[in-house]
Amino acid sequence: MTTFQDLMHDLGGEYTKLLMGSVVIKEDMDFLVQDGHIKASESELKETVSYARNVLLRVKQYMVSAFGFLTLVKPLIDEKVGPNNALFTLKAKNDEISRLAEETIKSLTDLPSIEIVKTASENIQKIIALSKEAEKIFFTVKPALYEKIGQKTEVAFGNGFKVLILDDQKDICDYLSNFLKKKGFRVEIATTANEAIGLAKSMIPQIALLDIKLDNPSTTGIDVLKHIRIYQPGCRCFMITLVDDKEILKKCLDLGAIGALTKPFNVDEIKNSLFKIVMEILNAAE
Amino acid sequence: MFNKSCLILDDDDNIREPFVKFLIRKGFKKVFGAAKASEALALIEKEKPDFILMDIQLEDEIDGVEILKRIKDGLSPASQVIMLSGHKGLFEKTCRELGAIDFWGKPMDPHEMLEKIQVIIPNKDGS
Repeated sequence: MTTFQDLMHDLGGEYTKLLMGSVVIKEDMDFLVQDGHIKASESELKETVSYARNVLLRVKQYMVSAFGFLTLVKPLIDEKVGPNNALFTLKAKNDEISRLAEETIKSLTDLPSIEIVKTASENIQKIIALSKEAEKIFFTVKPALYEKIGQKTEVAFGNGFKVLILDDQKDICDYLSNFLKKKGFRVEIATTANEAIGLAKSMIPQIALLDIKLDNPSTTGIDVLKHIRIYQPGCRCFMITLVDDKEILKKCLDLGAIGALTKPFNVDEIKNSLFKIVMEILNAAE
Repeated sequence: MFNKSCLILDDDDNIREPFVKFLIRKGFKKVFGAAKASEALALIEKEKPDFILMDIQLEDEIDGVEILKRIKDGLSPASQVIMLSGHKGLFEKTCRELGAIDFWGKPMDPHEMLEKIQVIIPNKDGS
């Protein structure tokens, strides 16, 4: 179960990582500068810059994840508490942190001048300050939201994303469709390959669940996979397969499928796989 | 600055590594980082660190509470232990009863953490 509490916990975790990394690289930058000069050998300077760049790249990633978590909890908050301005403020701070990190990464060359190092240090200081403000907002709203929403509330993480399901067994389609709709996805179902290809064109799904073996052996889920990979490369394709279909599955992965759901279905497996895809899509969108 | 040794147990590299780096810079004699419970237990037994900071929730077969028990049961009872948790309050009572001297919620600012550590382990050696 992906609960509200899990997502809020993960969001808080991102701020901890952000703060840890930023404080250390801020000190690194300041350590380089003494009496208006850079007091470090070329190799020390290179090493410090490379470490700082890596941390800043991670800072960007934290903000992308934080954005994803916010996007997932926001619909629930809107529904149960009403529109919450604090989350917009949080998002704005996160965007600003992201922007500063990006700018600093771009400015840091392998052997930067003292001016560049000083500016980087100032930017990182701003990042630290902003992250403390964001953290403060987060930890003020968190308990209030917990109280109103309840910690164990499951989050409909589907985020309105469109899913195309192809399976020749109508009851399997219906089962998956009901399950996914409850999780907040928008779902269309097809029972033949041609129908699926038509739907893929009209609905432009973000995610496709494709059964490999269909009743009509002339077309298979693999044909649909090939079609989608060419015409809608942004769509994440998951194959539906029997446990013993290993070779066929490998072929599908080579063709660009990102994974498989095996029959008989395990509800947790479906949910975890889709949760990961949703986070990936949200992250890629940033 | 401190003639002290310290161990950080956290399975998240992005929290543990910067904090280890930070404490080394602040002059701790030895700073150990451990990502796994087994690694931490071996280090604690061998090095008997003055100060141990560990996350309660580990993606491991044993959690922080169990490690705390083992430390206080003889592995290194003199070590000062602080527990770190994303869920402030959960397990706090248990940990204090087991001998943890403090319980910190995440997120924490490294500077604030250092200040607290300085209060907990005053530098008696005067070095």
